[in-house]
Amino acid sequence: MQCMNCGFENMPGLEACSRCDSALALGEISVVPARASTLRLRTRIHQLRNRVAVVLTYPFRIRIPRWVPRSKSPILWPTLARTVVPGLGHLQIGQRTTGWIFLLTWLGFLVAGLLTLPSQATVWLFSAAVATHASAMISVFSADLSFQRPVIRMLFGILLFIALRQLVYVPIGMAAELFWVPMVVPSNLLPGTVTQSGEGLVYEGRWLRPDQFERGDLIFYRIRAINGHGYYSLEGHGLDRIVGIPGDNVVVKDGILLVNGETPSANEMPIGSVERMPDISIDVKDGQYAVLPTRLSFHAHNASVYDAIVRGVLLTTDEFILGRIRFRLQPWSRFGRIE
Amino acid sequence: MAGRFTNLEFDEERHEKAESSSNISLPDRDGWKILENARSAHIAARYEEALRLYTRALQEDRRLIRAWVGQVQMLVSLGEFHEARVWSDKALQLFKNNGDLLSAKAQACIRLKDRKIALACSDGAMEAPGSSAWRWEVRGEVLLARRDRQFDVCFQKALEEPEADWFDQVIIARIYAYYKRATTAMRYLRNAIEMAPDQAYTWYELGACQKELGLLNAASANFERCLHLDSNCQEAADALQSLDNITFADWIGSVLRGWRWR
Repeated sequence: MQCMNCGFENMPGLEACSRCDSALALGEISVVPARASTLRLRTRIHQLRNRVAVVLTYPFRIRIPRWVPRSKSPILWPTLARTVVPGLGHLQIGQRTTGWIFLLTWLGFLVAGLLTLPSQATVWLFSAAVATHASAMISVFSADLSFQRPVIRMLFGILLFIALRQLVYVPIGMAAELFWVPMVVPSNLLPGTVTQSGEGLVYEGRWLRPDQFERGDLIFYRIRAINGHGYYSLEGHGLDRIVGIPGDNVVVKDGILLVNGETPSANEMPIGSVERMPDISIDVKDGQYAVLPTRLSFHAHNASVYDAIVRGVLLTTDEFILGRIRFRLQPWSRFGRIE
Repeated sequence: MAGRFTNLEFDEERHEKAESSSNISLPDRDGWKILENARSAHIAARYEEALRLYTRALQEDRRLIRAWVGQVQMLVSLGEFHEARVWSDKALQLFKNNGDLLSAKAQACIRLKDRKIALACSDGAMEAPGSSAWRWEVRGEVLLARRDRQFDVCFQKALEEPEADWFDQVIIARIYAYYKRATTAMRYLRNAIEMAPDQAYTWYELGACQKELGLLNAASANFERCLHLDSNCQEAADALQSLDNITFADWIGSVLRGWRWR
């Protein structure tokens, strides 16, 4: 008997091949394979899971209305969805190298932009990120929309850049500024103990600023223009600690600050020098905050004019306060929270 | 004198004999005919029908190793991996160390996530006498599942086999599609289409991959091409209809799958 597996010629009467041990008599062997039972527990579990999934996903199975542009329309919605992050669309269609280049370039510009906040370089780096995003989108759409002509591509790119910037990135930036606002310490401020001119700081945005400010809060505030008899001062920005809250009596006498008759603690002292402040005694009313303009320099003809200007800007109100300073971003060596 | 030594075994001769073992005795003509029909069903992804035909072929002639392998392949294609493994074990009892059967068992094991046994079976298949595209294809799948970078080399080896044809490209594409690599699957399907552009189901499979990737326009065109070649292809008709009636869930699903599938 010849073995079907190895071809070995076996002695008659053997059931298995002497060489490879394969069966020699196949006539009685069933050739119908066993099938998976539909009654098996695993199958039942799958059926149950599918039924639950059908119920749970019902809202998602509502047909897209006719008026919504379909995939056959010029705008490919799935493609558009994949361009939310530059490069993902390329990665998905198998263009890995291009996809990674776009993704890493975009991330690189974004990270560099964040690291250089709030300098002018940030604007350029974020713009470069937007341009990269637009390029990635053009690259994806060019295959689908057949924008093969360079002129059309360029026009489309410019429009896309503007649209992306104005409709996506600027709103994201505005939303972020509801929480945190980056700023550069104005260069016209006098030296202080906590911050220096040119440093990059972050103050709390509209949604994080408190209803009532505390004594000692370091604030960034607007200074209104003052017009008096024979003098005026322009609008500007100041950065200092609140020394008096509503109900407080603030007195500066011979270069010494007293609040309610006591010397404030170190954390409540202005960050500039009090010594050059004129003698002042003032009661802070409701809705007002006293901030000594210790870091502001005024050009005055004489002492009385100087006194008038200081008194004019000494009291500020809630609407002029932009926010509490919270973090220092620049220089990196001094990066951290500001108390 | 020479006749006395013709049955003596020497290593080299033994291999040669084993390699030509499939030609030992030609199976019944009917068995071959049914086998061809089974392959046609396999090509068209009518796995249930193919399984029945392979079984009928074996009823005609139990020596058809291709039919045993085909049964295991169909069980795997139908997702009945455990049954495929049991059946491959049975077939291996009949045909010890048969390379193609070992490969079929390796595929069943790897789909059951039994990577150790799958690799051992694949190793055994590669060491077994002879060579076939199927063994390299399963080898590639085992390595692919084990995240071994050599899997692509195995698929290339499969295509370099003398008997490899366009359907081997499709088999490799189906393996890639099973492991959610639709983009690579599309590459092999395109090759298959270049070699056999009249095979309707290949167009459908290409369209299905494109649909999974969210490339709906291209998918639609390929489904239409499939229907043009075979107007009875129900899968293509259904797929085309589903493109017109796309739901939010389909859309979100295709986008998410598109991100995941590379």
